[in-house]
Amino acid sequence: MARANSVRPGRWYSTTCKMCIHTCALRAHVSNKGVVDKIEGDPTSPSNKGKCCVKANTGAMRNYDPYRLKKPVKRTNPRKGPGEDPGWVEISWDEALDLVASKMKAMIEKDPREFCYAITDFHKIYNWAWPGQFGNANQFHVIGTYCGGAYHVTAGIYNSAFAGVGDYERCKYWIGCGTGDGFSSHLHVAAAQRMMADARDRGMKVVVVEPRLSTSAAKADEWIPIRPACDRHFVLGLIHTLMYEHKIYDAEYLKWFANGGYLINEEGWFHRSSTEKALPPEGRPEGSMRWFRQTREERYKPMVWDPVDKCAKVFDDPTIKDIALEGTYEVDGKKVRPAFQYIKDAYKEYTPEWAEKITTVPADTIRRIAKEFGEAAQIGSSITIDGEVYPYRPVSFNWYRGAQGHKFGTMDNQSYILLNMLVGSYNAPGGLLGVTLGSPHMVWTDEPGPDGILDPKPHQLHPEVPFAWPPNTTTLMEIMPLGVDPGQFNQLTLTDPEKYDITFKPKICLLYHSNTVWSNVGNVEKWHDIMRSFEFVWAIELFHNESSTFADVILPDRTFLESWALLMCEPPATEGLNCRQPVVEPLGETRDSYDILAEIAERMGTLPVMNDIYSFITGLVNTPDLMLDPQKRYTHKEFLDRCAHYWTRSVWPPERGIEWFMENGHNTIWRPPTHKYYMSDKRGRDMRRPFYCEYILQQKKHLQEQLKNVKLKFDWSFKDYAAFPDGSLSPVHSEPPEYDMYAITYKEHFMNFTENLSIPWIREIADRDPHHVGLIMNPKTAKAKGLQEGDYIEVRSQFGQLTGWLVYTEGIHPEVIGVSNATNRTVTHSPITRLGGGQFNTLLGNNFEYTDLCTGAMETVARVKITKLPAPPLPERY
Amino acid sequence: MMINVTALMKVRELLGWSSKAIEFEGRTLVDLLKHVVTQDGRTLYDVFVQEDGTIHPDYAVWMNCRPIKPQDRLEIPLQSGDRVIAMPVLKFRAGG
Repeated sequence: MARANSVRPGRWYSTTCKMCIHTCALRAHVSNKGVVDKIEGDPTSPSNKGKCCVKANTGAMRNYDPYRLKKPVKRTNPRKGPGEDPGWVEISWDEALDLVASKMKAMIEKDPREFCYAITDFHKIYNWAWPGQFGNANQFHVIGTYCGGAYHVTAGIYNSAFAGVGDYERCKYWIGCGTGDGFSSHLHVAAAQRMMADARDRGMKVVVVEPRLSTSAAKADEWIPIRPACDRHFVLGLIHTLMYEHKIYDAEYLKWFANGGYLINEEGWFHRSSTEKALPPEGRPEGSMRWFRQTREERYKPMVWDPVDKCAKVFDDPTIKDIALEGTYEVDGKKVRPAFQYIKDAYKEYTPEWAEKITTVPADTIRRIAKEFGEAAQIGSSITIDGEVYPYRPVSFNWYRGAQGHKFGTMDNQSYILLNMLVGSYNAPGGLLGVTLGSPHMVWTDEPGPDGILDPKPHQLHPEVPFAWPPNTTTLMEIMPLGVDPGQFNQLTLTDPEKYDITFKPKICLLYHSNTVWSNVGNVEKWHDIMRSFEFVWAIELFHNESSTFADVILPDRTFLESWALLMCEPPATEGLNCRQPVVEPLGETRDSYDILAEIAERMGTLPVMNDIYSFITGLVNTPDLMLDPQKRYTHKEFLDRCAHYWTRSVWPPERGIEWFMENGHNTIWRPPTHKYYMSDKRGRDMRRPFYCEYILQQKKHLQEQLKNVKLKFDWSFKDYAAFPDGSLSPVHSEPPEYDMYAITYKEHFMNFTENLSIPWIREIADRDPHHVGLIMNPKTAKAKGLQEGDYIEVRSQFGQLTGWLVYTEGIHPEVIGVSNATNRTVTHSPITRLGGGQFNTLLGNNFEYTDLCTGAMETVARVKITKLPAPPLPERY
Repeated sequence: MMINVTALMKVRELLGWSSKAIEFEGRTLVDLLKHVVTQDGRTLYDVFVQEDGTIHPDYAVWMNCRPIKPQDRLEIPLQSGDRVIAMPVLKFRAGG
């Protein structure tokens, strides 16, 4: 298989990338001297089909980085923070593990809540559950709420999915809003780029709505520059136009596959039958357990209006002849409206002109895009796939961080879902498809829930935290029943624990592939103080960074070329497992992070608990022959061998062990239509999608009842909970007038995830892209402010400041300054990474006002003022 | 009927075993919880179920890969071959 012209004599190994979150199937060539000299995509993978991105190509550079940690180190300088030399000294593994285990053991025996952790190794997701041994939910990172806090929650509620993306195979009109899907970021980039290219070859139109001319915007058919943090308002304008002007909507979908016909009373709740209860069925129904029917809660059935029989009926009445979407009715002496009418009435004011004032997108553009999108949906058409007839709706509105990483992020996501639902493209061939995680053990598969609606599954990645006050977490998850780890709140609660009734003090912190000081939001000096306040910090890392510089002990992990993993390929296009295996001997005395954690558990005496947890979360618990023996310390390979057997036996047969995967790399398959499209007659009608999401209102009401007996010492708003989105504005739009610009941050695929600037090839690419060498501003704006390209400027928000060199680009909204994540770092192991300038996140507000209090999603846009400063000496370049 | 019961973590220690196929004559999940006896002579029902008939917030029961939610009734009919997991509530947070 070796290509004589590209590599030395040696052999190819199948493996899987870990240079970002995605899991591209790779093959790595190892020379006869045992050195990786070439990495490329695995041509046998139906997902990335032999392609990989620049980051995968640079995997060998990371592996052989001369500044990698190769032995455990211990700090000798007790003073911590920027400017302090930690005085690292190398120590033996025995000493390092003993030190960590003894500190952890003493803490657990006293109060396990004194442990907090930042674990972001997405490729060993089972290690996220390691702190479960201590019953501890003190998440100290912000990765969830920065990127997809509200996104994953709403995907789980509306679609029982982790994410969502357009159907590359069948879509004809694609809107991308605040996402790099298909081009540069979000889901499985190397695979998505190829699928996007194929779709463009087919003639799919791409419209990108973003403040900046990003990679996707540059390659789109049309770029629509928009003011930051108001994408929802653009979409509300589209929905208004489709409802009121073009009158384009998929009535059949809204009636039968969504709850657009459910009657809503004037208080905003479903109008329910006064006589017909949802009762548990006799015996056991076929198929799933249908847990909703086992509820002890008395629940009466929601009603719809049958315009043929001119009366209200319960939603599942077999005599329903049609369902009204519009009109006002009187039922049981009460005024009620179908959900569609209810929302339509609320959206009367959201005209394109209203949206233009907020977004700066011209009203005519909003009208035109709405018309194009609605017409391209081909409402009424169908398609036959594998003998089954589906509605065919080849349009998709796609979004991710940029469009919903905001205050009111829940409503942002709801608006985009509603737009797709309005034209019937939600889960239809050609439309916006749910990205489900796909393990049989996981409950995140679509199942019927209460009221004839899909069972909502907001907690996609970890268990929910039950209500309690005083809280047991430093992230206040107890009062966020739908939340995702608002790690930013650590700054509030650890700085002023009394205000938040925090009755314990975290003293030990674990940093595991997590640069929380760099990634977290709010004033960075406060984060430094918090890091200093921990009595003991231990890290599992490859390199030194802004956070691990506060560590007392660092345990060196192995790179993806030296370690094991078994990973699910990201849907929706494909599914299956990719195997990572060591292709070279590990450098120095590094160890695999699974093995590190298992040995620490053993030294703490908690290995049986760890093994039980790992058996549970991987599903091994379902197969006694594969379940982990609580008393045995398994190697990572042994553990994955059991997972391979279980996952292939139960989901992706035939059954295979790890040896098979080592030889063959993956068992990825093209995802079958029955796993992608959920709305055929067989699968959709008993689990409508919530066009009107009463569930969120129920969660709000339940929380409010729980809080009645609690006296909070701070204001806690419920404005972020809504059954459908409205036009509420993020507070960034009403800051004092001297903050006259919006600051945004961004990455491209070669910057995804961490430690990129220390890789020579990536540094070189970043240095040649104007968007990544300085602070970017529209030249018209700059000139109006008396600034010129090359000026040294300060960007200051109400919360923090950074500095940098001004770079002109026409490719940015005139009210916006762009701050690439590639401009600089503040701590680095590598001499090729530029230091200085500060970090974007310190510009952001870290408080309840700037947080979506339904999910914990934070506002990721800042209002700033720009000031020219005297130029310092030019930064050194490598 | 034959029910597969797995006990994890603290519950494993309470029962003294990890996994068993249990033959019993009951009909529902409640019957099963009352049938399984801990090493100190209590039943799993005594340990897991509160006075109001709901599962104690410190414990969790899963049946055929699905959690029994706090609002669920426990008189769920069982069938031979069902798999029940009894464990403490798992608490952890991380990542996305």
